[in-house]
Amino acid sequence: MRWIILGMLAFWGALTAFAYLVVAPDTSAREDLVRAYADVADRGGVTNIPGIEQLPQIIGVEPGELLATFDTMNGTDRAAAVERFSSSIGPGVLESIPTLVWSTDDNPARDAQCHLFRVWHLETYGEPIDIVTDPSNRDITKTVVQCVAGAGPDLIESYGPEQLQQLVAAGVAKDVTEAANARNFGVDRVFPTAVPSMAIDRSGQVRQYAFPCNIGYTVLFYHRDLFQEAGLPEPTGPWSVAEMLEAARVLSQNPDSPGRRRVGIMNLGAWDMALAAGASFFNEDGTASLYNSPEAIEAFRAFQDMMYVERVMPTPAEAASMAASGGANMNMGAEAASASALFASKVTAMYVGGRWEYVATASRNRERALVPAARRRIAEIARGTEEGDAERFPGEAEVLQAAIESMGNDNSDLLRPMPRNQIEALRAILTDADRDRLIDIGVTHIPTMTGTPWYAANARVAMVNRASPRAEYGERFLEFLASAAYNEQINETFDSICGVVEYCIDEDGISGPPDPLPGLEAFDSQIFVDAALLYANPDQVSPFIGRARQGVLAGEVMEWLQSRLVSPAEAAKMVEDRLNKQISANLEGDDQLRATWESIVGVEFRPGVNLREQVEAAQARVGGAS
Amino acid sequence: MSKQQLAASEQLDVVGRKPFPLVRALVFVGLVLLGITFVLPFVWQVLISVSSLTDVDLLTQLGYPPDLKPENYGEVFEKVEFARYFFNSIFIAGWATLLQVITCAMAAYAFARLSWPGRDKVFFLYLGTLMVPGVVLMVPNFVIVLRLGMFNDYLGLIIPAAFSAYGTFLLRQFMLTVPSSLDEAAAIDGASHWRIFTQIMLPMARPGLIVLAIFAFLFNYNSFFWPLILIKDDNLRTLPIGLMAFDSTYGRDTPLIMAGSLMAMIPPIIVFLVLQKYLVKGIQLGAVKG
Amino acid sequence: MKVGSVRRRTLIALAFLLPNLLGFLIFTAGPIVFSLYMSLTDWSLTKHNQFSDQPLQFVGFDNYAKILWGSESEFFWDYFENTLFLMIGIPISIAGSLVLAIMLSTKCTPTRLGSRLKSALIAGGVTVLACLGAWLVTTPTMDPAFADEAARAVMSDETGLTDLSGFQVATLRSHAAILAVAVLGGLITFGLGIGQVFFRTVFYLPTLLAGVAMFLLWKTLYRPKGGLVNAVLQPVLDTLDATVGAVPPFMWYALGVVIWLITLALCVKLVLVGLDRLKHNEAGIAAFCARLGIVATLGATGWFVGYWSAQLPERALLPTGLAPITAAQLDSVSTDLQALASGDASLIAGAIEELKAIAPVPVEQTVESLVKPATVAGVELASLSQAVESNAGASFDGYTAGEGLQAPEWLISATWAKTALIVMGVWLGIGGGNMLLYLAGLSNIPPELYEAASIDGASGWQQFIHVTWPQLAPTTFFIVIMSTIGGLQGGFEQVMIMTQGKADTRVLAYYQYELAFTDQFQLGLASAVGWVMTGFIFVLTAVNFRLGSQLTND
Repeated sequence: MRWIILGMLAFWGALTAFAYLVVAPDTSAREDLVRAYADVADRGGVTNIPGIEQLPQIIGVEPGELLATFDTMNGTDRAAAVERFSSSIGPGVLESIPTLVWSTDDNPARDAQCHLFRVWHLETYGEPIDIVTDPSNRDITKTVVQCVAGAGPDLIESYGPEQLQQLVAAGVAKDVTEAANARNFGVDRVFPTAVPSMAIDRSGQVRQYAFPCNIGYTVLFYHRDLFQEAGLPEPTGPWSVAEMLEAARVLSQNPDSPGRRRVGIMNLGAWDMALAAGASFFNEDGTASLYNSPEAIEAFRAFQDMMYVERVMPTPAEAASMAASGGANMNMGAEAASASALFASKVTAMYVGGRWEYVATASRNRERALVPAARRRIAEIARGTEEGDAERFPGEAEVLQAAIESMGNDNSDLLRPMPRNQIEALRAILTDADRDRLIDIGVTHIPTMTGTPWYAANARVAMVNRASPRAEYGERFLEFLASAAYNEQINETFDSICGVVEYCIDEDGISGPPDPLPGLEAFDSQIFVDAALLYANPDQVSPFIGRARQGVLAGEVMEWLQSRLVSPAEAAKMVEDRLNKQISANLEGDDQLRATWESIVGVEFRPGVNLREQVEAAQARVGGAS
Repeated sequence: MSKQQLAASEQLDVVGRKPFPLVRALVFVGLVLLGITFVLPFVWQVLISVSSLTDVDLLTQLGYPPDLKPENYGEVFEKVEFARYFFNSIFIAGWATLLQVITCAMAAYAFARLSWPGRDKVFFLYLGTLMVPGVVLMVPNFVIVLRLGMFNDYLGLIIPAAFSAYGTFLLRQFMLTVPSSLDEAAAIDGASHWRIFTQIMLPMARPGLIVLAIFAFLFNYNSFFWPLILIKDDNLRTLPIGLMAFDSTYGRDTPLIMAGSLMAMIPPIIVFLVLQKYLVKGIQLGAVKG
Repeated sequence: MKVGSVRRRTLIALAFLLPNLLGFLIFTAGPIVFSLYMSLTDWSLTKHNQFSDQPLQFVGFDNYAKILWGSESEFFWDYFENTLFLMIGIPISIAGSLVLAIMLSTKCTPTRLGSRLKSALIAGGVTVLACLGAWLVTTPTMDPAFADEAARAVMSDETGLTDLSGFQVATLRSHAAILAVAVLGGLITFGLGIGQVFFRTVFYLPTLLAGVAMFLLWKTLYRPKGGLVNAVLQPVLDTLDATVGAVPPFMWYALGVVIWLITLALCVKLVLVGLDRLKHNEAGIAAFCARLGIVATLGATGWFVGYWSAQLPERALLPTGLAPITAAQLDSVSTDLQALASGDASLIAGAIEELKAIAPVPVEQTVESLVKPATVAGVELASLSQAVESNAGASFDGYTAGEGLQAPEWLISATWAKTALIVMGVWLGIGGGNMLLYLAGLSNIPPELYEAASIDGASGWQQFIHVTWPQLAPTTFFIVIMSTIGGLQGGFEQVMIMTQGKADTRVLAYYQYELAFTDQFQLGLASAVGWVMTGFIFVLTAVNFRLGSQLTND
């Protein structure tokens, strides 16, 4: 018995030692730093950084191939190289380099962005820095709990005006207005719709707390070939819901198997339809909800009809049945992202989605059409007996082979720049059969009731934690977010579009190289820029009601509307009444809030009286007086 | 207990005698039918885990994946540091289980077998804390762990899990069922409390200890929210958090999640299989009665 | 044991208690006291944190008033109701655990190694043969090249998603059939060969997978079309529909009510008999409590079945997926509806004929009820027009509901989402920790008690009532208390992952989380919700404890 216990203790002891000595220490950090040094040395721009001179010697190749060689080394060689580099710049230097913690989502592109930041910082400031991401993909809970206790990340991510206001109110976000003015990362450089997500207007004085990582919004994707087969003109500009319906009715008929129908359109949101039609959740200063309007009712009716009368859009039950594995995390609801899978299978003719869906679509095109076509063509060239087998230009087979390798087999491979000649070569070999298998995407504006495009667009921003001991470096990170290197990377990796306007306007399209793969050229469409620049609107926020509660109250009504448990008119009225009731309750419970409300409206708040009537009566009096 | 007796007791069931063949057959059929309802979702999970992402939709219509992709299992290891997460989860859950069983058994002994002033009051205090929902305790708990310097460290996951009011309650209930004549006799023989505890109480309450060990291991192995908040480094992440990398804002890779979670089930199954052998021994021990 | 002086005993006890007590005070009691204080303040992260340290306002019981009858009360009581609803699963799950534990303790498989191996070998052989049989029967034998063309259209028609050939599809389905046979055979073989240990592990599997992956798995199982649950359920319903489809809707309601009444009568009868026995000292309070548990389980089950049957006609009344109707037909429907409203007999007859042509099933019943009382016609018209409307389009290839009785839409339907969570909870809990506790409890019952009982001539049921149940009382007591606490506190992750709070499934734990972390970070208010819950749990536990201490002393 005693020996068993002793043996167990020894085992646990050994395990603990192993855990602390081998598993826990972070060894990849130093490697990442060496990669940054190697990249800088490859570009040859800056040479006075300590350690950069010795790097070619340590890795054993000339500048230009340092990074590539380092990446292809095996584990032991790489560790040895890191060790030699570390001792060449002085013992302990590499370990003592400050590390920023960036709480962000788990997009695989973040790794590349971190590398870019290390390189940019070396080149711009001449000193090394490290950065790691701390994905908290689920929600903001983790960040909030950590921040309130004083252990938060250095860089915090937030989305939309409401979250910014909460984090600013909590005092977590550092005011970076002065630094932004001095180092040129101010509000004047970004899309106007992103401004409320990064700055707060305090009676005319704009204080900046963050800088956009990218802009989030969705547009309408459609199958170009389905439009062509049906003999419909492709929608190129703004269009109305009625026009869209005409197309959707035709498209939902499936000529291949009559009697079975296709989905006409997916993911069109009732809230956005109503807001685009002119409805609004709140009045201008957020003192009351004015949602119950003819525009909202009209939009709701059109929305319901699309599901139940026209049957061009799936009902919630149908959508839930179709939504399988395609994707989306719990915040979005599986329906939203599986739409892209259904779209790719041509179950739906049109759907509302974002530019980030490039990768999913591109991987389908790669596997279904492009790689098989290239393989076939290479075999033809090798055979060389029949007419047309000869190379169309010298070295075609090699170019195609290189193209197959460039496309790789992983999602992240699709985000690497691909030489133009490879894309041209691919495009040239596609037969009609290949084109049939290709997803040929068109992009256009989301239809609205009025015909004028309208988009809800907010920015995903990064802000500096005010308690961070590395706040100075944090500001540099925001400066980096405004740099060409970062913004071009966002555009090139189809991570929606970048926040800085100037990098989106380019004669090469939004992304420049790499070009999208054949069939997906529309992902560089001007529509994306127009949507964000001309027609985008930030979220409407009321200071008198929390967004989460607003979501609960309005979301329930939306569920009922979608299941036809309430009529459009009832729904619009219920949304307004529920929001106003909540605002009234909030005002009753909080003296400070009530004082603010009264100073804006100009009358005393009367509990139990319809809020909209109170506000409108007050306005009428002010209007009458003036 | 002699060998014959043991063999005889094996023939008996809880209702004290060998049941009629018909009853036995019915029970067996019932177990198999119930077994199907329990196994079917897992068979389904296995099928999903070897499908390609695009085929998951078709599974109910086809009943079987068109292209088998067993390489999903390898991909889990390639795409995230799965082996590391595996180690961390087992390491943390193992330590927490060991410590929790020890501290709870000692405390349970004090509550079940020792008589001291204020015993019942303290016990009710323990019981009372079980009633407080955990969500709001997250913030104060985090502050405490941070102040103790256990943030982003194995300790922060092990130490708070080493004490449990639940485990104390559970073991107290088990120790209450141990006949008090046993330890009274030992006490009269002059045995110390420590001796009674280790030589009589622990063996007698072994089924309870094992049940608690299983619970504690599973709870800590599957725990999600606390490690999510407490751990910053990728190297220290546990399995449930590591697996969530496949459920990101950029798509849910259901086959990989299912493949990963099936592999994650292996250590608990081993723990369960190993410990339940002792559970059976506990069954026999319970029958020995001193 | 009372040996030694009070001081010495206390010291010894403290020595045993200390390691646990220390951790308990730091990691459990400390935060709890903290949160109790905070529930009396306006603690909010936006106001009080390391950056903007506005002084905490002590607001007394304002938070509690707000929750219980103030501006938040509507939400609180709504979510409280949901929480209680989800707890219906607890008695079912506990009873199930007990039954499972007893089944697992019954020696129903061979005990000797030799006979075990023999029976396992036989079962394994039969399984292999059955798999071979399934392979022979189901494997498509058509020439693949021919089948390719013929069946491709069928498949793409069915799913619209893939270009698999018919031959491939038939092959896959054959694989599935073989797999099903293999799973069944495997269960029997391993069950015979390994015995209870095998089944115990199988029942415990859900607990081993517990967590996020489990909920994601069930989310796919619950998909209205294409989920495994409905794939199994729908054929059953179709059969039911084919046999009893002609039953008029009021009969279903009546059936529901009858089931409820029978259940109620049975429950009342059981309670009365129990009370009677208690009065005459024929059985102790323990037996009475057992009776109450059975009554609760029975009541819950009866209520469910009644609920189900009452739901059926509403689903049967709205068959969808019929042939699409044309715009002209839609127009004529509105004319027909006007005719119905007019009350003119000849017009009505014509209209009924026309409507029947478009929507055969529902019209007859709806129209009958519609024509008679002219005053309610307007109201009914709306529902009729909806019934017609829902036939106005055909299905999205295989995803839309078909004709006749439909399996529930589970997680997205406000009617069924909570039931879905309950079913999952029972599946998850029945073979889990509670079963283990009962197994361990059963193993601790001295066999002499049974021997004595069987010498007295007690039947199996009497032995259960007089030996097993009282001996299991402390275990049951523990399980009931912990399950009640768990039920009131739990449900957070399920709701967050499976429904995101939609379909009226928010529970108190989810509400707390929303208040604390997504809606203005009102930690004070969230703490108060927690303490109100604690109050409820305390009352329930006190009741349990009172009953339990009687039970254990019984």
